[in-house]
Amino acid sequence: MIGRIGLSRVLTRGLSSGEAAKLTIQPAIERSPTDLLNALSETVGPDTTAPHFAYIDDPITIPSTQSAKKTYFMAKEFGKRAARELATEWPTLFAFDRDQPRLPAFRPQHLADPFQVDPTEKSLLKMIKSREVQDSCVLYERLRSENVEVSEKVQLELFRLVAYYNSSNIPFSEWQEWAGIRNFGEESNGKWKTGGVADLLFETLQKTDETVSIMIAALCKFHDSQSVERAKELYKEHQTGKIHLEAFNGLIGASSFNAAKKLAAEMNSLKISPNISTFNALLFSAAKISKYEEKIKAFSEIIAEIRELDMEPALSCYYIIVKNLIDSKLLDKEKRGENEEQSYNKQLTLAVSWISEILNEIEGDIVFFKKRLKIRIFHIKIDFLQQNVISEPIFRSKFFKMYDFSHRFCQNQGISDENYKNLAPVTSQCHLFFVEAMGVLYRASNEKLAEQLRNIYESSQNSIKMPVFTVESTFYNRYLQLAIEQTPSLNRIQELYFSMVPRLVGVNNSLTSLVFRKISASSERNWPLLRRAIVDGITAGQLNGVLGEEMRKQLSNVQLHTLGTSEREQYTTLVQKLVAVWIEFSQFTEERMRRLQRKLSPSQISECALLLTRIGEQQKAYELLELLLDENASSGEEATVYPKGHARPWAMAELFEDALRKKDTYGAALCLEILSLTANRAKLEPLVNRMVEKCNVNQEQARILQGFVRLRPQ
Amino acid sequence: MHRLSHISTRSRSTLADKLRSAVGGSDYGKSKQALAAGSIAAKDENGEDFRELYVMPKRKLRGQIQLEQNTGRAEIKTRSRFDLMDRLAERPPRSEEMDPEKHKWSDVWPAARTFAASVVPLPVRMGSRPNVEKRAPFKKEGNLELVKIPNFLHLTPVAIKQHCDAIKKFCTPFPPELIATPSLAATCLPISVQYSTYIHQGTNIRDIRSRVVTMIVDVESLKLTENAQEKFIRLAGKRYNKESKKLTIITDRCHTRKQNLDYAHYLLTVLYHEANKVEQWAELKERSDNLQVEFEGSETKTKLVDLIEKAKTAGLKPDESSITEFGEMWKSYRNSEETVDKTREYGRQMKKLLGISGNN
Repeated sequence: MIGRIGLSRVLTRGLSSGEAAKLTIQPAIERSPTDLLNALSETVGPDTTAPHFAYIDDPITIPSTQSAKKTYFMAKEFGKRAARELATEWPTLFAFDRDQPRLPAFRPQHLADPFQVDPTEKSLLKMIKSREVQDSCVLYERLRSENVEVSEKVQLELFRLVAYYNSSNIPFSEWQEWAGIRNFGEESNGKWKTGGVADLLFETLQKTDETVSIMIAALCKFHDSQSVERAKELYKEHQTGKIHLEAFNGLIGASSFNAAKKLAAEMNSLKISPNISTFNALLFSAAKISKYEEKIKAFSEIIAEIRELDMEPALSCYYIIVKNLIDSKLLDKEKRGENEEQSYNKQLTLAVSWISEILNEIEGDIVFFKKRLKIRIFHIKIDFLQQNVISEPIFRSKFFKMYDFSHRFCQNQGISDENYKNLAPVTSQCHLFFVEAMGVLYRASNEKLAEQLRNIYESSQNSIKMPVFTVESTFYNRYLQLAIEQTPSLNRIQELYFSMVPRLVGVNNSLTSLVFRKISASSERNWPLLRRAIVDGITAGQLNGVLGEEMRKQLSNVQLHTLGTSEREQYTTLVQKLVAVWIEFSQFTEERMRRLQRKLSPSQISECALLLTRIGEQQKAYELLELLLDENASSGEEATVYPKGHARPWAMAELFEDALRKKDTYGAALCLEILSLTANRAKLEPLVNRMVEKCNVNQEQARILQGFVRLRPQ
Repeated sequence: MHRLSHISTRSRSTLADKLRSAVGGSDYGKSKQALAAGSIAAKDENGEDFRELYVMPKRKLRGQIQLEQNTGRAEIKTRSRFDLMDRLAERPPRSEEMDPEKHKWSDVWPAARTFAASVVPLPVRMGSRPNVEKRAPFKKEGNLELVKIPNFLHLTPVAIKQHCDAIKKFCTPFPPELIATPSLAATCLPISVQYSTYIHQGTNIRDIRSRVVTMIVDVESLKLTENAQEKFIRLAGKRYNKESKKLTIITDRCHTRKQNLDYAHYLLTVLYHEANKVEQWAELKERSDNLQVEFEGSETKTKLVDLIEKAKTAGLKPDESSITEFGEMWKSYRNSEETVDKTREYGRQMKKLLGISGNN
């Protein structure tokens, strides 16, 4: 510091006066540490060809299907966890202390063992803080058995924790560090554990407003009929006190709509102002109404009530509504009767109109929010001006304070002038609205609204995001299938499909068959789309069964002369690959591999042979066809061909024609023999005549051919 | 399918085989012939079993099989491998689908990363081969050479322009005076400080090299007196560059950049004040203690003056006025490295001084 002060003296003396003032250096524009990074990141858009960033960007590691994504993600995560476990067990082996700042992830620690730690209140508090629910229960019981005094404050802390989590460890959905487990882990919503530590603590602690409220909320959170009864009893017993909002929310959600309305009135009389969770609970209880019209009426009332209170309904409110707009009984198409079909259509129409309203509401909010904000601030200003004389200095400062306040208020609400986000998650269920609404729109085949919904979801104002590999992929899958279903243009399908598969939507059977259906139905030709659908099918293991058959059909429908040179090359490689794979599947003849075997069916062989002749591989095609005539290929342990089924007549006819065109007597004879397996003499005779005519057949051969046909049945 | 299979079972040959035999007949019923041949060969003329002499095992040895397979005489039996599904899961390289009209390259490659053949849609090749005319260098797929070198695929002109546009809002205008007269920089901004920041992927954000601070000061702008400046230069030693008249202080002895910067400022301050001090012993300074040999008061000058006098008396016409010019030349001649040019210049000036014409 001495240097700095000294220098300023040196320079002021050293530089003649006035010289430094010559330069006009503007003051720096203020920015936060991340502003530059944000600005730079705005130049980067989504890369539609890339996989999700969780995966290594390499052809062999990019997962194509949903299950592959899950497996890969979980494998990565469990690998990491295994590494952590090793580092915990043998910390000295991994003590490569170079990290600055220190990263706790490199020094994982075993959790404190409740049987080993000091039996003190301090260690109990520590455990409560780290949310080790079961461990803290064990430690608490140990403290009691060792007669260690636990203060009321700590007991209350423990009670809060234990009641909230029902004396079991925190659910997967609250695991912060491990995204895989959080999203893929499944858990049943348990019932209230009676006689556990929570009950014990509740008996021990004083019955204050808080403890009773916690207990009621917990009983309603883990509800069965008994626990709800008990919660209601507690509520009645505690009429003298004033229970908290959360307890009311729990009670409302657990009761019928009529009871819920009474509870809400009670809240009003106690002057407890409701929050969004209250309305969610109300909507939840309204959803229990069995009569459809009443249910819808109740929903409208609740939404009107929210607006009355000058609140914005959260997306979770809309989620509950949308989820219940169609009776769950009517959802299964096969179980619907004619009457039910009618009411289903009615409900679907209503649901779509609700969604349309909701979307307009949300979108309008995003667009007009900023305007409204400014208007509100402006009103505050005007009011103030009217009330006070602005020229007075004291009022002026007050005015600015007021102005500041309104700004700060907006910022606290997450709304700043530049960086406002209107759609922000309020409850943990907000994101489900998108997928639920998309489900309804998919049922109703309403592409326009689906597009609008997608735009809202992807807009920069929306900060509600669905978990990527579970909910979000369902959302996009529904959208994609709907969009593909609705459009007649193959180019549009190509655009959509290329940009979403497999990045957002995993390859799945219904999607692939939909694409094939659209390709067949369309008069356009789109080789890139067909190729991509088939390649995706290969990577997703859809080669066998119906989709494999569809692939062969699509490939044989391709008119080779319409393809360019490079496209024809692609066609050739694709056919070669497919045939090779099918043959490889059929050759799993060893005992231990047989579960992988998919034998070639005669129809498959004929189609493959046809595709091979198309790409000019006649030799291979005939080798394949010979399998049909080879006894050993279809029987015994080493069989690679199904003994049942027939070769496709149209494919065989084309192969036969091809052989004739090439004047290939033996090829034609092979086709003829295969045809003879299904055709009678009358059909074969003209074929033989043509063969004799076209190919170079000597007399002996002609005699053999005639004899062959004569032996066929009439 | 095999409703009529008994026919083929009976004949054991396909129609095509029969047709073939009708032409050549050589390979008709191969299997039958083989069977017959086997049965004949099994007996000798006496009807006894033919016992072969054991020379080597009848089965082919592995080396033999491999040799046959490699030369194409034996068929390689392919077996299906159990990792078939994994092999099938490999996707085609995603660069195939990239369309310069639909995709922005800066979205695909937004930041520095190692080369990835499946992502870069360029037919680049790299590596050395003996005869490049005959065979081109190796393709990008699986090419380690391409992975090793740093690439600047994220810094395309378009990307740089985008970045510049994005951060422009944080920039203030450059001082217009400096644009008009760049020489102002030296006078108005006499101190420049240089340091480097190192960013890399890793667990440690520290880099020991980032502590080094280089401070460059324009000594002229300190406005020192002549004596003080000389002292300053002596104290600075080789940190002072007499050509550019700049002092360079490099500090790296402290742990952090801030400490080093403070230390550099401290050194400058100390240097300045020390240079301005006049000690008693400074008065003892003699001519030989000067930094440079001066013409004024030198023996050469007295001798020259004498010489000119003598020349005058000898009737020559020495150019007295050019003695100052000669002095400057002499000073630079004495204080810098001797070169041929300088020596010639010395001679030229001397002749001029003495009035001896260049032609003589």
